[in-house]
Amino acid sequence: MTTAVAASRALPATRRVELRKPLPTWKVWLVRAFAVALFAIFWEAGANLADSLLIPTFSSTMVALWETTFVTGEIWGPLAISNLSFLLGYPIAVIVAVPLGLAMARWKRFDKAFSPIVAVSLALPIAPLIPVVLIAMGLGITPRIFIIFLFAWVFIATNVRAGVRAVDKPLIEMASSFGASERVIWWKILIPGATPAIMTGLRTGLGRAFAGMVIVELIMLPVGIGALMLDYRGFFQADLLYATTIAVVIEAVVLAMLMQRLERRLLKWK
Amino acid sequence: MISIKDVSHRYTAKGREETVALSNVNLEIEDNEFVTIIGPSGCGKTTLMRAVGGLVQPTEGEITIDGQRVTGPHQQAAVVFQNFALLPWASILDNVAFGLELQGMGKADRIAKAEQYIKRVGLSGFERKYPRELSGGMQQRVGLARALAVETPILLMDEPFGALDQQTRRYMQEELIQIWEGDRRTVIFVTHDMEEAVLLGDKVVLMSARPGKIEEVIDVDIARPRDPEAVERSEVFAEKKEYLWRRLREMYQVTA
Amino acid sequence: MTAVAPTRPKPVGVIGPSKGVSTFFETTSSWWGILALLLIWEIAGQVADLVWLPPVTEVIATLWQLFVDGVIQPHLGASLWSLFVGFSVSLVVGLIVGTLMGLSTTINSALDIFVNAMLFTPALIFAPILFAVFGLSDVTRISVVVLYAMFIIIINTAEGVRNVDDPLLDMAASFGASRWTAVRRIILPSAYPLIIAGLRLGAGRAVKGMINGEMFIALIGLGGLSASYGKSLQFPEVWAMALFIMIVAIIINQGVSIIERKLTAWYD
Repeated sequence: MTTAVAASRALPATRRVELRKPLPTWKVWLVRAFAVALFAIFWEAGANLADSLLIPTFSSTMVALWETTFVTGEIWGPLAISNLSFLLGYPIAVIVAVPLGLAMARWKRFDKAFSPIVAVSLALPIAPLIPVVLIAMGLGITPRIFIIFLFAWVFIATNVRAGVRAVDKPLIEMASSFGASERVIWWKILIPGATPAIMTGLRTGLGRAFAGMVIVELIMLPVGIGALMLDYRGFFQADLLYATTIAVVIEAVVLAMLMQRLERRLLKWK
Repeated sequence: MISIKDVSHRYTAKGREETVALSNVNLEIEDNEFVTIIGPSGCGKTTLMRAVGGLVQPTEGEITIDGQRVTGPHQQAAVVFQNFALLPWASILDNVAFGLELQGMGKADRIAKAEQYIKRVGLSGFERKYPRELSGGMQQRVGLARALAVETPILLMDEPFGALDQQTRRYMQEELIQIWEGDRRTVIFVTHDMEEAVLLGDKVVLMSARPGKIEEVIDVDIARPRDPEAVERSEVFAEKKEYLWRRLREMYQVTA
Repeated sequence: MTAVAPTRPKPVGVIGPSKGVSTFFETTSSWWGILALLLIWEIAGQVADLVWLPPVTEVIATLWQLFVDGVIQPHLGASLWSLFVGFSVSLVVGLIVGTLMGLSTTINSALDIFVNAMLFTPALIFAPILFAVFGLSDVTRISVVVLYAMFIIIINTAEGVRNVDDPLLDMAASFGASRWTAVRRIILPSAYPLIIAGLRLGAGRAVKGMINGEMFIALIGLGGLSASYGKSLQFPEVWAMALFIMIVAIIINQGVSIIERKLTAWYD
């Protein structure tokens, strides 16, 4: 066969683009490891070159991250304080906003009553109003929970509403034609059909709630992780400042991945 | 002459078992011959056509055009795609001129030539429209004009009328016969429509699925030029169609 | 190790329910409702007499006064400048990196972890570091804007590039398009709507970054001004600033949406 091939000339061929050319998994991880290594080397070299009190090297940041999490454990207390308000505020937002979004999608009157509030909440910036909440609710954990709630609820509600409204009308008609009750329509048609949008809402809301937690602590009410970072900055403990920042980024990524895993499990049919 | 020699093609879609799309296919197509390929879905008819165009590189065997090996997309063949593959952001004129532009033809020349082929497929007056403003049948005329305009010796057509409704499809078949008989090229035409296969083809290549291979090559001895209505009333047509249907039914009984 | 697949968010904007502030006007018939809300606010403010809830009339009067006294204008200018510079940087870097990530699986694997992590992380978390490094200079505020806006532009651009129709690429190849021609004539035009949607979302996020960054530094810009009012508990001014920032954000978002519609009108 090779002789036959060699005998005939090849037609000039176009070299074409290939997108989505799949890489084997090991190669993907190799490339990633390489990218991380490159990033670390540049950081290390840059920091050594800058030789500034405010720019720690990559290695000293990693050491600080290790120490603050496993040796001194300094990060855990503030992290817990911050997350407590987040872990209370986000579920409250979900519990309020999901039923609200469902009701707004199904009943016109509900929709009319709440849509102005939703519209205003979508547009109103929350950060500048944080002092209002602090004075109205005092200095405990309550205002922080409320602010996190404010950050998250409207995105959950609008996504749920949009999701239910986007459910195929013929499906509802089909179910009614088989004599399905309102309850059956909800559980068999509307909620499953709206699940992707509901999950989008929950994911967006989670991100917003987490952002709310960070923003409150950094700009108005220094407690928890925000206070810790501001302290590190004040005392020029740059390595610990960077390490804490990285820890928060890691938490955000872990939360996003947990959410995605949940989403995949619930949306197996897709 | 297109010569397909011992061609096999396997691929593995992610997370699935290996599929044998083509198994040991041999076929020779003479110059200026109109060959239709028909077979059940999954028989690799489109893969075979794409391999001739160099859009797929078969895992085994070789395809030569006038003795030259196909190793990738080449300029001997132009393709008419099933879903038209028109650029939605370009006017009809620019779509038809696209192939000419890639060949490096100057602006004035390519516009003149594109207009000539737009006229040939009956779309004069639509040059400035965009694809979304045209019906499916008209969009495929654009695809046809684009492929004709580059004036390659070979035309590859991948179920070009498959997405059209029956009347439009029938009308397009008539026009294709007329255009082709006035401007003969080698055509490989993939279809799943038995009447279409017989009406258009000089030869019908019948393929079977899993693994995709050629069952039979049927000569359609109906003289050119063909008058579609006369052809459909003819005995040969009925006979060939009947025969194709019998063979295809046998295949379905085996697979289904 | 295999379980840690990178989380890749769907490109947002072309379809999908959450449209951010542009919904403000799309919620038809809510004008009366908003009027009712303002009325409730006014009555509550008058009756309850709470220090943190001045009546809406007082808030509007305060906002007017801030303008008349020329307090707001320089801060507005500073904010818009950092927004403009920050968004421009995000635009250029975002388009280039996004296109490269869309075209090359290798570049994509190298960067996707970073990009996705940065998309999920509230970017204000980097403000203390930026402040420590760049101090009170404009670079700090501009960097916050960039961190807010850039990653959604990267993700949408990459996804747009990756989502190009395969038949179009086949078509281009069959007519002899080289790689660069295919990128220029097929891939970028077809990614265009998603790219524009990414720019719209990026603009919305840039506004947020602008305000939050300024509030963190609490010195200049609209956010800086409202932070200083907040710290001195001047509530009519706090509400006035919130109202004004809302108006600015709505104008920017509406403007961007109109531009988006104009730019994509020719598309399906």
